[in-house]
Amino acid sequence: MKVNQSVLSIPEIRAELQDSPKLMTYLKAGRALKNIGGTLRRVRIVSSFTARGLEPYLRVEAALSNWAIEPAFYEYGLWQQALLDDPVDPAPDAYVLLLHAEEFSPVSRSMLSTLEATKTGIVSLLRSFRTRTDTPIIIPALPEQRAISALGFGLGGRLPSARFAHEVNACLRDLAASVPGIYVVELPPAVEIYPDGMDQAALYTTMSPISSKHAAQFSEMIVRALSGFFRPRKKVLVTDLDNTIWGGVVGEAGAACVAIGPEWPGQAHKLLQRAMLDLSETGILLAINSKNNEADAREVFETRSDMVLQWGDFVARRINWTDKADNILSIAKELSLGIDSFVFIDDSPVECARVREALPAVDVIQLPENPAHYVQALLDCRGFDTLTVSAEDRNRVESYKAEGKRREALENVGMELSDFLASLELSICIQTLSDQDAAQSLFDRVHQLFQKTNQFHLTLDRLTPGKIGARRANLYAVSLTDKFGDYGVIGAFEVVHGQQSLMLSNFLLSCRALGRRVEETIIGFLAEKARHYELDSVSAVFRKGPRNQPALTFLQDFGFEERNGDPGTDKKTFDLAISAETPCYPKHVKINTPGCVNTAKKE
Amino acid sequence: MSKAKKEDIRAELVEIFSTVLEIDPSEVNEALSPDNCENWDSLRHMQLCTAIDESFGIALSMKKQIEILNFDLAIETVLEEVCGKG
Repeated sequence: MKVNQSVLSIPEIRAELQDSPKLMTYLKAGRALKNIGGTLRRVRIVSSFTARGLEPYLRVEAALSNWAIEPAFYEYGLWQQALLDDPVDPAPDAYVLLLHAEEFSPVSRSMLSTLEATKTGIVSLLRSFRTRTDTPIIIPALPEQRAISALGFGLGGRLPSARFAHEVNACLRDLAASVPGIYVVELPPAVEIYPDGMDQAALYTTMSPISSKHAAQFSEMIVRALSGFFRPRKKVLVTDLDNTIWGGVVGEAGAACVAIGPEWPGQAHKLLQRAMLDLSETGILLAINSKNNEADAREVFETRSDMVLQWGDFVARRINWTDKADNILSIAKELSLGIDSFVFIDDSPVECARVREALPAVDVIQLPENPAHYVQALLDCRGFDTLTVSAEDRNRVESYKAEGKRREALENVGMELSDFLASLELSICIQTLSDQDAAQSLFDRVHQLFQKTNQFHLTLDRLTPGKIGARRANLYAVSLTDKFGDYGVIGAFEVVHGQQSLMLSNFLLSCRALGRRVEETIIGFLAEKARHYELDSVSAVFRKGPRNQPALTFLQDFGFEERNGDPGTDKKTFDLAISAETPCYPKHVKINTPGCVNTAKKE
Repeated sequence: MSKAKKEDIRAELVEIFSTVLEIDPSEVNEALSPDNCENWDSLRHMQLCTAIDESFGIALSMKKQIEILNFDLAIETVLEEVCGKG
């Protein structure tokens, strides 16, 4: 075994586990990972059974999902108490609640006799927990016994003991729908706790229903459910065409003969298309990167009625004979997205190797030889994992398509940028979060922006939902629309009143809103506010990160001057003097500021 | 059963015990047991059994798992299982 404490990398661990997915490998890799540093996410595992055995698996699986976990476990039998205890310090980043039906009614004759009490108990426990902390809690649904029994058929397929889990699950799902931060996740049957009573032995000997056989898969699912909180989700899936979304090579076989359902192997390719469309509906942008003549490829989309994916489903297309890594870079530039938000999928080992080598930040899915396993290969990609899909996520694809139309408009007309911006009929809405009526979805979106924005983000502070709630009086959300569509909420900022200046202590904008002079509009808004309160400057806090140079460049170009000093902190302050006339709003935008101080002046 | 085979099994068990119990391989001796090794708790005991099953391709019964009361008994149990398999 190669894994030891001194030599370790994620690809090595992955390769080692592929060779030998055994406890010893997890133990060694898990311990080696303890020493590699980075941001550790503290996850408290609260369970009605002994779950400590999951530790090495959780560490390794988290590493494979590109984050680092520090799991903490409670002693057996203390799970209710754990939820009622005062918050621990430092606060965990997430809780996971693992329940096993047997623990609810260990001594009663019938599980159903305790059903109502169990439901009431668990609801009040979780509600009480929620009043103490806003840390997210993830609860895998209780396994619902699927043991086939003739007796079960007459009872709607469920024996009384199986109904218990079913009803508790329904109750948990209702609770999760109404209380923020509670997530009930469904695990695939193969990794459910205690599936089909198959690991009774493990339960009796270790007080844990999760056998060693299932511990790795179970941990993988827990980690993948948590991943959305701890690492940015991938945004773009760039796909090859030939032998990927359809079978065969269109340039050789012709559009009429490439394989796309309903027979083998067309069916496998069609299902891959469907899986891609599913991803697209959760906000993942699709793009084409194919070595082909564009006319040949387009013909498939236009003439084959069995295609699931349509030409218009792709926000960018590179169908040419250019190097595929160069194509990805060009798509990234077109979409204004970092290449670390890209996943590339291709059947060719050569193309995959080329992209891996040229662009290590891109996740590469090399399709297996047998198309039957294509969909699984896509689903195995952890970069798309997320527990929540916001309205913004769902709108993203439409929004990028609108962006494509804007770009075409600019290219076709060839006008000056200022004329182009004026022609967009931009409208910016600045909304305060202090409003008691501010929708939960607005908070969620602002939280998401704080987590995800890397480029135009002055401080890179990753405010938690709790902090956003506590600081709502100073927080604003920015949304943008133009004649091509609604960008949704694209930015947020935080303003604190000082003695002489208005302090912009946080300011971030989604990269898809850059180039519209939204940032200037925000400063114009602050200048108005400063004048209103008779303050003579606006100050901005900046902390350098790996990718937020655009934010610094904006401050400098706009005339903010770095303040000397600020010893002992990695943050810098920049000041901008406010006069009676400048700065003011750019004239190409319409501004709407419900509930805010507004005496709009145009330049 | 050759002596060499027993030595191979012992060497593999030393690696398993030192890894699971987080102790130096030199500390693994025939008398090692939950009585003299602080890390050998019920969870680690199950991990030992899992690692033994996985490494030797066997499936210890619950009875045999419980009977592994020290390192020497682990060697004997594995020997029996491996020989039993032929």
